[in-house]
Amino acid sequence: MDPRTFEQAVVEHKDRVHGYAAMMLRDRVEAQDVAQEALVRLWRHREEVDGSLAGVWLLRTTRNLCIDRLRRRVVRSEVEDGPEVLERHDGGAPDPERLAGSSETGRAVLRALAGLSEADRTVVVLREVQGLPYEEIAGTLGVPLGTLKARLHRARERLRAELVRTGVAP
Amino acid sequence: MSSIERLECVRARRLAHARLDGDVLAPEDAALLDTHLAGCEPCRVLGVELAEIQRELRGIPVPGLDAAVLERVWGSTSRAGTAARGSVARRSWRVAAAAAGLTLALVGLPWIIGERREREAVRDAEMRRATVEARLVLAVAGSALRRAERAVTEDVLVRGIGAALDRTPIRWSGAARSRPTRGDNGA
Repeated sequence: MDPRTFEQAVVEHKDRVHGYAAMMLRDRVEAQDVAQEALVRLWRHREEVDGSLAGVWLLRTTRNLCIDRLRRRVVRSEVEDGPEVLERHDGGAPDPERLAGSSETGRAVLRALAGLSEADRTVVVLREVQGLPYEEIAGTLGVPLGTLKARLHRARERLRAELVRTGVAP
Repeated sequence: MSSIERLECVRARRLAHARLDGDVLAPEDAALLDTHLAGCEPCRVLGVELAEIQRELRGIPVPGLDAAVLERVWGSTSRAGTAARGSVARRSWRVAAAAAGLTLALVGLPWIIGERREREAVRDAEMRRATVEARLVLAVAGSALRRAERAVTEDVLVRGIGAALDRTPIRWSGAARSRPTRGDNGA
């Protein structure tokens, strides 16, 4: 990937990368750090990355960085507070939740989303929140299209079950 | 719920998800789903709730990357990136300069050549006109000179002859042989 393609990829995908990190980590500073790290890594690996696949590469890297951060949170929680469920950790005031406005349902959906597994949350965030094409999500996750759709359907139903469990019916 | 009903529910839910995915259902699948939802309260509720959740998810505002973070990214890639961006800029300038040169060559050169030819044509015409005018002037001057020369000659001749006649008394008789003196006009 030449420097010009790198610049175009950064401009094109920076918000998507940051948005995904913000939704996964629910922490503004950590999301910015992860987004920056992913974009800088793209520069470092530019010789190996095909320019047309820069978006997929960035999302995959961002996802891995988010998983690392979530794991570190679990380790910290285990040391400080005892065992915690990875996905249940609330990393502080989430930007999207603050931005969601006064909609009680919107805030409930965000809380329920935070209760999903990382894999389910990733699918829902990429497809339903960020509106990425199925093919791009499948490329990011490295799964066939049918598998992706089945995973999305399951994640939707789990999200609904989470909302029902917390007593907030849509 | 019988096994047949459950099978219908499973199929209907799969179709409901496909509809949420934005897939266009085949007419028979759409009819099957709508018929099932009309008669199955749990599936109808599920469909409504999933659609509501999807609407909420799509309405979540996703924050964009701060400009300061983007600057840090450019800064982290600045050493090579700036050079690359600079080379891109230089390359752009070179291309622009080449394009300008080519444009100048294509448009300017014929104009310059035309201008030169035009100037040369004007110069030739002026030279021809000036030559004609010079010849006229020379002709007039020559004519004037010739007239003046003739006038002077005539004057000299007339005056000279007159003066000589004045100075020289003409004696029509053979008696007078003495040299005449000035003022002596024979009176």
